[in-house]
Amino acid sequence: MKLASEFSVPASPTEVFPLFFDPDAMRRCIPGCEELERLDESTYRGRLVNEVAHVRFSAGFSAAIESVTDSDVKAVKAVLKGEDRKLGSSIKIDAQLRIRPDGDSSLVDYEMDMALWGKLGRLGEPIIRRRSQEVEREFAALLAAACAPQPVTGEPERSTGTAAVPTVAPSPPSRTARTVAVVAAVLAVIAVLAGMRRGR
Amino acid sequence: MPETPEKTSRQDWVGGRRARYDALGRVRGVVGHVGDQPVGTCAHVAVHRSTQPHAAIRAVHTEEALAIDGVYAVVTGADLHKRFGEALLTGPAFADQPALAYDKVRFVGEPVAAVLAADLATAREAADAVYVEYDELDPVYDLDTALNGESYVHDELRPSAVFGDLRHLDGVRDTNINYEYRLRHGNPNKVSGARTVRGEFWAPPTHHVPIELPCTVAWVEGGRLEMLTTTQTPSYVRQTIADLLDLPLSRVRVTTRPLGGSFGAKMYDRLEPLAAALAWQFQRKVRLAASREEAFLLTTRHGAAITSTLTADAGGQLSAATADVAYDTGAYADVGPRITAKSGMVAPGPYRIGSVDVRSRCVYTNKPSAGPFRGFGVPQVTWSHESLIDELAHELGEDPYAFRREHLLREGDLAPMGTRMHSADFVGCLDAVAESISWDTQPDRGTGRIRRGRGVAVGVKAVLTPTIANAVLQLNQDASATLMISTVDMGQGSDTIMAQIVADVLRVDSRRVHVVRADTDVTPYDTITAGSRSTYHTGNAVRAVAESMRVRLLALAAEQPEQPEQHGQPERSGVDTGELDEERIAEIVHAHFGARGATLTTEANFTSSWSPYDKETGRSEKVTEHWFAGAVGVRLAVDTATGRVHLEHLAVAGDVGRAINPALVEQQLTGAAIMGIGHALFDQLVLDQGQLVNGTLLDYQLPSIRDLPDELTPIIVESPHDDGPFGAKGVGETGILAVAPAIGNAIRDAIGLRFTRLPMTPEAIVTALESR
Amino acid sequence: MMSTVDNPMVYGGGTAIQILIKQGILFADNFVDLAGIPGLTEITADAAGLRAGPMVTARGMETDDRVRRVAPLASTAYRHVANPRVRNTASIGGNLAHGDYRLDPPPALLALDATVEATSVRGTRSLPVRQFFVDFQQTALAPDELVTAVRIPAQPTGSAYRFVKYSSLSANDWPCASVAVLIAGREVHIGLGALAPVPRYASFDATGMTDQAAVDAALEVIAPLLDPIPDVRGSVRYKRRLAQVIVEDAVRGAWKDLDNA
Ligand SMILES: Cc1cc2nc3c(=O)[nH]c(=O)nc-3n(C[C@H](O)[C@H](O)[C@H](O)COP(=O)(O)OP(=O)(O)OC[C@H]3O[C@@H](n4cnc5c(N)ncnc54)[C@H](O)[C@@H]3O)c2cc1C
Repeated sequence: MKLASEFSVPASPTEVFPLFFDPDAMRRCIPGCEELERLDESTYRGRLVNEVAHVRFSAGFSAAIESVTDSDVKAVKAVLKGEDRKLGSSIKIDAQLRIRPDGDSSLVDYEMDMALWGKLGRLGEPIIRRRSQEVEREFAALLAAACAPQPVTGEPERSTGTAAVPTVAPSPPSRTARTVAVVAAVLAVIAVLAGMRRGR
Repeated sequence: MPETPEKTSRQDWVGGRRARYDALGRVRGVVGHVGDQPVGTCAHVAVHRSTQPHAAIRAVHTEEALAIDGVYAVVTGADLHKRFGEALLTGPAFADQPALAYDKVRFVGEPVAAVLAADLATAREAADAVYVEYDELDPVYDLDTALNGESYVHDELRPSAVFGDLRHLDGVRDTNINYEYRLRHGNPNKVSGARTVRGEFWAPPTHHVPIELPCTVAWVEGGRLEMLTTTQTPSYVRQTIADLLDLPLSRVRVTTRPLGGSFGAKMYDRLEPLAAALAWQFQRKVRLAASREEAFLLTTRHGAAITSTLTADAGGQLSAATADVAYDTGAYADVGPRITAKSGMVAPGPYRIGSVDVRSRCVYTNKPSAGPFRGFGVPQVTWSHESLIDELAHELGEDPYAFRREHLLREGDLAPMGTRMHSADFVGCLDAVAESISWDTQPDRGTGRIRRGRGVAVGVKAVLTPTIANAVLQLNQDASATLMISTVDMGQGSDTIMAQIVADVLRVDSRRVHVVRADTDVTPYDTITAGSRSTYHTGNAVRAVAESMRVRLLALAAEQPEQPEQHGQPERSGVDTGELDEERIAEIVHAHFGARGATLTTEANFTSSWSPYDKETGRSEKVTEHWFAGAVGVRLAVDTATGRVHLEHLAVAGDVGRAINPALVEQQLTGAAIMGIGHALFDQLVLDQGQLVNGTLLDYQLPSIRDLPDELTPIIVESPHDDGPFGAKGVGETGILAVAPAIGNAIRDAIGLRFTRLPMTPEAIVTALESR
Repeated sequence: MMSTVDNPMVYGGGTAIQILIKQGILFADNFVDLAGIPGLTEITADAAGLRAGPMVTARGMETDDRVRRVAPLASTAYRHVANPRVRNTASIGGNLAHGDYRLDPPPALLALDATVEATSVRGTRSLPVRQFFVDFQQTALAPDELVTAVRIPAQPTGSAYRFVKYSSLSANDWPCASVAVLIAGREVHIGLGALAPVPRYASFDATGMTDQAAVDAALEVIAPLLDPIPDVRGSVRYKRRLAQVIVEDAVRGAWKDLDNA
């Protein structure tokens, strides 16, 4: 299944970009992300937990970076894998994420080729596609909030955790690679959310 | 369902329209299927399935599952492999499929571990708690990657011991092609054709969706492995289990109940090897029942890609046909190699063609395994040859019906694969459907949103050969009979027609003939109930066993002192004329044993033979015992706004040699046509990167009552077979062969567009119309 | 009760719930079966319209004389749900609460301006169906709220309607697209099913229009509402196309009835 979309963040790439370098910031932006750690130069591991109607879901995911481009348009290619044991499902995504300037804002676009194996794979495309839109919306909102210079009031509702103001730590270029964590997390969230269909 | 016995009449003998003996029971749900049987205390089994399309198994964690209350045991593929060794690998052509994966997984949904628990819910919960670590391997998602890539589904080929002709493939490495059949005759490339048509055809994988789900119960009793299972192939299963457990055949018992449909889904190795291995390992009763979602993963119909050409010379004769066929057999070969050859050899179609060149290959991919399915691969190649000849007729400005008619094989003709045609009345079938749909009347094609068209197509298929059938008949003193055969009645009505055959020979009421359900302790060996072979093969054995009973009775009667005064009916002695009836039989048997209720037994065998394919040319003087010939004619309307096809009339004809029971023949033709309609218009398994996306009945599409044509006409054509029982042949598959191309040809006629990919969904039609 | 048990789930006809359970993706701890509660299967009719209890079956709505008379569009839409077996079991409350984007009755209820009665320990409130479908498989019901009735206004005399359901694969399948059109007092109401993540509604004033003008206007108002989800039943492109075909068919058909009336 191929998914592609883009969303806008009301901050310039130079403001948005460093956020992606900060695992703590990312953890707060990603709905349900409880853990996010870097294992080595190019691999990451994390865990997403979600709770809907008292049912707790937990999915581990990993990300391996294949290539990083850091020019005007910043791009990352990565392979992402997630697993939801309770739902007997695994997910694998070949993903590409890019950030480019758009006036005062940044456009973040992603393309991914997603394989969803196991029980979740039977749920079919509609749910996955729809959920991915929701997650994207939520993530974009949190990211925007994270870009704001002051703590934001009236921040979007979220299911887990609270959107906090990130400590924007300027990072050395070599850590650009962390961008990928976003994609990984977004997608693993999709997997988890897809599992939480409760019939309504 | 006991029926009210009526006076014996021809209606229940050969040629009679007797209703299936169990029709009411099936409809009302009082026929007990395997899954309905009370099993008492047993271990319910659930399996943990792979979430990877292709990966080495690094570790299987079972601790969590074992800790769940009510779980008796958790078994991994490695456990079974340790216990049973290479015998764990089974399959009808290649010994390549493990009951549980142990070294690597080859498709999403492959069983990796099994849980035995007190109840199914607990077993399932525990199966979910099993956790497997994998090392991913490059997946082979499609034919293209399989044929051109460098990842291999199996490290080496493992042809099973039973087929001598596959031995040369043993140990072959670095390939996903497990079998290749080649047919060469003449030189098609040298032919200077006046006109060549070419196509790249695709028929997708589909699923059988029998209403009854597969279920297997296995237990150990007296040191024997006993099994009650939903199978079309009890004799095969017994052999497989004997090999797996290293037991003599006498210590394995396989029994069945009436199947609730199958269409090939319940053949060879499904749940049985795992059930047997678990029952043996734990020496306890186990029950495996597939859910609907699991059934989708057990077996499928082969997706097939066919690139083919058909050439007519300047004189309008068919001079050459070529076909490159690739069957996607998924993770395990199953019977794919057989399908590849048997379908490849008819890929040019039932026509007089000068030269042919066919390459037919069976290819592994990382998908659920494909196996037998009504038509045995032939509908896929029929899609190709019947589209091609139609297109060629259009190109030459010929009428597609008349063009076919001119070139069809006739009685005595040598088909491209070298075998002579007998009892295969293609012309009769084609004429019958053309007449039925009033071919001569041009449809009102229309100019607006709705367009109309008509199409025909012909199909040819060989019966499975060589095969073996046996029958044992026990005649009871009261002139009722008990027939022991291993043919499995799955709704096709075999028990009914076999009784009709016995009744016809012995001149008794066929309701007095009971057919014993397959039970390998009791019923004799029979190759399989499949490939439309039973009416001919088992029917011949049944006829022979009844004949020998008749001879026996007449001999006994001849020994007995004449009692002309008995019942005051002296004409009844009938020994000289060979006349028998129920009363006379009862007398003869009673007189012989001097006891009521005594039994007389006879047995018979029927074995068909073939001559194997020539290694160079792929040809054979006798590739099959007999042929199935069928034709379909369609009138339809296409809504060009939505792309929806509405079938106005579909006629389906099959040459059955002789209809033992015309009502059942018509039902087979009708049922097959309906299944074919699904395949033509919307029925397909959708896979995305190895994941079955629509493997539930919510999303998998089957024809509903509202998809039926306004008019559906089954037509029986009878050109008797010299060696068939009463001239009869089977019919289970005949009706499905030509459905999709007939519909495709009618769509071509209606809107002028040729479709080469199935199914022809409304979206495909609209898209083609838009891009015209 | 809904507020006292752990992780409860309302069980109506169970036709949707059973599927989720079978697929192993539903994890509810307790089911509250409405079938045991008396009085939820009643249909009453008065001058204003109909009131149907949540446990009235789809089949009941299809066959009930009062529904056929007072709101024939609703009755027609319920007749298009699945097959008789499902219709005999599926409840109208469950059909609404399920909130799926491709159910057949919601487009009709949207066109008819039906309201949902929702009840919880906090009391009963009335929710217009036009505000009921919030997001993909999400309704305006609170987790502890029950649908306790559906109110359907009577179709005005002199109105015309059409319900068109189109399945792209098997004829008996779920809709690939469905539309309900109600033309009442020159106002054209359109409910769309399966063509966006939620059932959608649009209307326009057709005063003085010809049938062709009405069709054009209908296609214009629905255009921004179309946001189909691609699946095995069709791509976005195909579903958009279908939307146009069935909306045109439905508006034209209803218009013809108006002219003939
Ligand atoms: C084979 C099949 C084919 C189908 N085809 C179609 C079709 O073509 N068109 C179509 O429109 N639909 C179709 N359906 C869907 C069917 O209409 C719905 O499943 C049905 O309407 C749901 O009603 P139910 O009473 O069975 O709901 P349930 O399964 O009981 O419940 C569904 C959801 O609603 C909640 N719920 C139930 N009642 C209430 C209540 N009173 N208050 C609050 N929440 C409640 C439940 O908790 C659950 O979340 C099909 C279903 C099947 C099984």
